[in-house]
Amino acid sequence: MATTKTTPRERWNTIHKNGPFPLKFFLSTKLVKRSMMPDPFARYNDAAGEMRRLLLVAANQNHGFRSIGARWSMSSIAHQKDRMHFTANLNIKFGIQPTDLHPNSSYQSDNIHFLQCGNTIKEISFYLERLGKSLKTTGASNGQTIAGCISTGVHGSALDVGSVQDYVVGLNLITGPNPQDIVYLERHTKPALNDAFAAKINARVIRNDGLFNAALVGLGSFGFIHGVVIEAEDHFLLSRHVIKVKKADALALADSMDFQNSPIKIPSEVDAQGNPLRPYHYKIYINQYSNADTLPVELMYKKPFDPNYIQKFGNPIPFMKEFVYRDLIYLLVKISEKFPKAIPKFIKALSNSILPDENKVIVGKLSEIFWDAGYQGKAFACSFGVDHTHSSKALKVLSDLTNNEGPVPGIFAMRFIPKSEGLISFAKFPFTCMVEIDGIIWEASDKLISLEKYAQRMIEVLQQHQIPFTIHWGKNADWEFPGLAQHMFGADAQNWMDYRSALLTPAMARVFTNQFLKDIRLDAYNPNADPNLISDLST
Amino acid sequence: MKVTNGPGPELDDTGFDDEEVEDPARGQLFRKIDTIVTVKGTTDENPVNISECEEGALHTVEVRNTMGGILLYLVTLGRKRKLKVSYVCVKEQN
Repeated sequence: MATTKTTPRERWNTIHKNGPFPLKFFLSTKLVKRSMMPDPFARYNDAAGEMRRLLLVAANQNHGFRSIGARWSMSSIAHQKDRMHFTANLNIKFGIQPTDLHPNSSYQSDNIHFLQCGNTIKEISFYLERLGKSLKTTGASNGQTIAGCISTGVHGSALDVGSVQDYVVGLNLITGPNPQDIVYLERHTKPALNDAFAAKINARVIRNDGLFNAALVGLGSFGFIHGVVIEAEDHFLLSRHVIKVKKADALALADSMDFQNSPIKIPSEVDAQGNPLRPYHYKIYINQYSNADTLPVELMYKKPFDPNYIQKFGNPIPFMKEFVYRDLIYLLVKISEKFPKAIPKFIKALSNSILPDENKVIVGKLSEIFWDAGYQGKAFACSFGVDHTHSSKALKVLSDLTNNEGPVPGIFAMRFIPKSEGLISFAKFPFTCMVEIDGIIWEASDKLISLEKYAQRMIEVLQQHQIPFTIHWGKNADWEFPGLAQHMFGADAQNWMDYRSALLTPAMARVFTNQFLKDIRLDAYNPNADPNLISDLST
Repeated sequence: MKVTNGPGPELDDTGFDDEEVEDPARGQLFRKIDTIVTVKGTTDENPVNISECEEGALHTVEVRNTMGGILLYLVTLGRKRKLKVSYVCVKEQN
């Protein structure tokens, strides 16, 4: 049997030390050994049974329950004060057979893979690469679990791919302690797996686009995500270039996304007419404290896989990783709290370490380009999604705020993602620009604005300038800002709550609610939610 | 000196840490060996067996020299050695 160790605790923290948060019990589940139960379906179903038991215990104790992945989020989205459940050891994964595909499926079976919730991006890449496959995109780093990624909307800057949840084609949720609470969700307009497969994981099938899209970015509150079905693709290489360009050109390109007619060009990445090719990835780095009229941009181009790429282009992973002394960083932050005007100078001094190296073209697999994260200490990040046509305006508004009411120890960047079908995905615009500031957590002082105030002011200035926005669910923000979810998502905020209310019983909705959900006012339970919202619309 | 096996997914930590601990190895389950080994004068290599990695592979090994360890080696003419090793296993794959 899968086993769970339950330990009484007092507090819990994220990997970037954004807490601490109070905690009563910490749970960690391990699978039964492969040698004792070789069949992966048997082990998976055994784990499902254990999860139902844990949910029953939580419900009986009137406790909240939240499963967590790698603790990567900086917001309190992963936190639950009663019972937190560590899933990293739940890492079964296997490929889908042709006989598992739905008769109306348009997917290739060798691209479809079933991943248990605790598989990290790094593990999944390692597994897929041995099959000649790759994830379509990841975030900037690789430590998050797949369930954590989709629950918060993890994304890169893959212009024609989107966020991690955008290549999820099926979800296996456990919504309560009963056998019938194991459900397998898909879109009815794009089925992937057949009912016989769902029977192998003891799940009842609901094919329903609306419900699937609501649960896809579920903020950890739509039930326990036990398994995720993804569509991978044939492995490929990325050619990464970092160049200094005119700031005006970089921002004009952000507003237009018209790569073909942009003056920003990599000489080797042009078409027959000499026009720039559309890249796989475009990212802009902005030091808002600098008046330089140039800045670095990162462009990546997708290439066919070449098994000899390391011999031809060198190893994309450095032989030796260099880290700036952690204590040095903390010392700089401490100094900044007393002398805020020093922050821009420190950022300039550290720019060689925090900005990408311009002089080297790197060619590697997706997993190698977006490799292990370096710094994993006290960090903050604020990330706003805006329509890309508002990119430069939003950047100016937020940079001006940072200069006028800051400074704060961080720098801005801009990444770009197409619209997601997730109902409350922050990638809600036809093309979303994520304007983000990443830096080191600091203590407010009489000279230095607090992170809480800074986050509040960011929302206020965007509203004052009438720039529609969303916020990355996993990053720091003033989540209690009045009317925030409704401002960002309009009627979809209530629709999401209605889908959730239809799927979960009142008792289980309470189990899967945490303070974060209450802060953003997405916890309301609608007892009159239309039961047709969770109808199986399979044809 | 820390040596890392890049592609092998490392074993995650327990998902939990104490707020006061500033552990540079966050996110990884570091196990430690901190002992003194006795080496016979007639033997040459003395490999240390790490048997706790269920996947059968190491992801990261960190070996630290300490002043005390160096002194012990000198005083005992190499017969006794301080062994201070931290290691992370490759995560068991399912």
